[in-house]
Amino acid sequence: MEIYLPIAHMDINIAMIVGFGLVVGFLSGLTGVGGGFLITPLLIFVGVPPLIAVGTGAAQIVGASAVGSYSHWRMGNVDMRMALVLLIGSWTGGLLGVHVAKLLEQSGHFGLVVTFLYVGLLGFIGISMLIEALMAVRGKKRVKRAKEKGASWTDRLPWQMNFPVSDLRTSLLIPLGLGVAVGTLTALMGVGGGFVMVPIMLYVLKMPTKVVIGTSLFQLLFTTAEVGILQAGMNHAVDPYLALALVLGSIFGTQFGARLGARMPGEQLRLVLALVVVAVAVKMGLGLVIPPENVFQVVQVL
Amino acid sequence: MRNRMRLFGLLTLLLLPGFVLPIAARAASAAPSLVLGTGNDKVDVTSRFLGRDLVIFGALSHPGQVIVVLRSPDAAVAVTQKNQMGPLWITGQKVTVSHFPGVLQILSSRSLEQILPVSERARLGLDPDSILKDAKYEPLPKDVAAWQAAVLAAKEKQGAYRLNPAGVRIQDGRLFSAHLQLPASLPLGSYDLDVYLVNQGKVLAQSTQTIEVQQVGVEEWIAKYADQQPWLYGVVLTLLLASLGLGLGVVMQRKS
Repeated sequence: MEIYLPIAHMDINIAMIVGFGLVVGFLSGLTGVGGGFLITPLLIFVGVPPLIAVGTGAAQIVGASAVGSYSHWRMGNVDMRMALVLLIGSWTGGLLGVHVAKLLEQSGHFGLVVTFLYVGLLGFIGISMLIEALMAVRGKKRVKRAKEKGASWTDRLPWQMNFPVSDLRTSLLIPLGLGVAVGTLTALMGVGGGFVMVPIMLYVLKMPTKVVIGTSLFQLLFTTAEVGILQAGMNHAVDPYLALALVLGSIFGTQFGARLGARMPGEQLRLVLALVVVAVAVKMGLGLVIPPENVFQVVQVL
Repeated sequence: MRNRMRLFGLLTLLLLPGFVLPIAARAASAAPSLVLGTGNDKVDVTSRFLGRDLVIFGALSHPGQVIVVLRSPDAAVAVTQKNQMGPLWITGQKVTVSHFPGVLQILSSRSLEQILPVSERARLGLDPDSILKDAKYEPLPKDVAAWQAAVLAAKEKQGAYRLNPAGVRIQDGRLFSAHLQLPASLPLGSYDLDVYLVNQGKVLAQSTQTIEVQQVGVEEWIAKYADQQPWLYGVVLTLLLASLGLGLGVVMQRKS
């Protein structure tokens, strides 16, 4: 079903976009890893201008993560104090990122920067997931890190604060910095940033797993909401039909994925996801190397 | 609605000779004239709009060749160039090209070179090359010609610029008809439709009409809000996405 997108100024098969939402939601439900970093590249592959792919990608995460955030909040898995500190950082990072995106778009380099970011980040994530999954499938146990003795470097930072829900005391600087990084990624790449936030919360902040999941979901809901509004307000970069179609697909996909995932071996699933991520990174990287059909690219401006 | 318009068009076409032929027959010395009709003078753009055929028809008082020109309001494009840097293709300069029509369709009953001299073609704006030469390039690139060619090629590929030297059919030397094809992506506003009756390198008669291309319905509303109230639009859309996600998600979870 071809329709004309009012913001992206192009025709697109909207059923295909719902399909993207379904597939990515399905993978996300199966593996528990968010799918924002797959949606934006897919949109770029089918010809959506990079800035609109990034803006719409961030906005659709609002819909895709709403129900998860809500249920974790109901179950008391959200460390509100931690979430607020993270949000102060990520809202600042988001504002910064959307400004940078606007400047890059004006100079015509946004598409290139996004490609580089994706090749680098997806390549890194994909390969580390691949190694981890392969080791897990082969039945090798991960080498446990020796327990750190005494005070770690995080204890020596200023502005220490208590986070009772997570049962830890740490410097404000860590969640603030983490927030800025995640907000910037959301603005520049259209991702939720869970793949950066979750490992740092688990291994650097040493928060309990349940609280990590609830808090990261909660904060990324509000970060993507902020970035979505900024991208629409400053850059006219959120297409309503694309976003609605993606949310629709991903809600159903996630549900099916989660039901099926409960009955399937986790290691193999993560291996599949890792392969998908590496494939996307390679496809984006090839776009940089393969000589373009036409060295000139012409796009409509309003 | 469309069919009724077409029927109306056909009826007009059948009636036209009744008006025109007597005039033409009266004297060949009478001022040459041209009567023009269109299937519709309004084009509604919705999200399901994927281009549209426009039928142009009319009658001629004198024998000659006919040129039909459809010109949209000006619309700018942004052009970027990729340069090779080692193994990588890197985006280089970006040039905004403006002050030229977004859509240009020139249909004629014979090739323009055969029926009008260059000066006359340039005066009437029938030469895409010179139209792009007169466009504004900002910032001005080194080899403008390459950028002009790139814009023209993109416009032709998209179907926005079309030249068809066999696009006008003349019947009995008195009636003509032409098919214009609007592309899916097109600037909004008043399009100028000009029809020229040409004989021996001169324009004998001219007829002009405007066609309104406008967004309608929900699409118009959304596009207008997104453009004029981008912040409000962003807030409303974000809330809508959140409630859609939450609502659907809760329903799905209850079902399971």
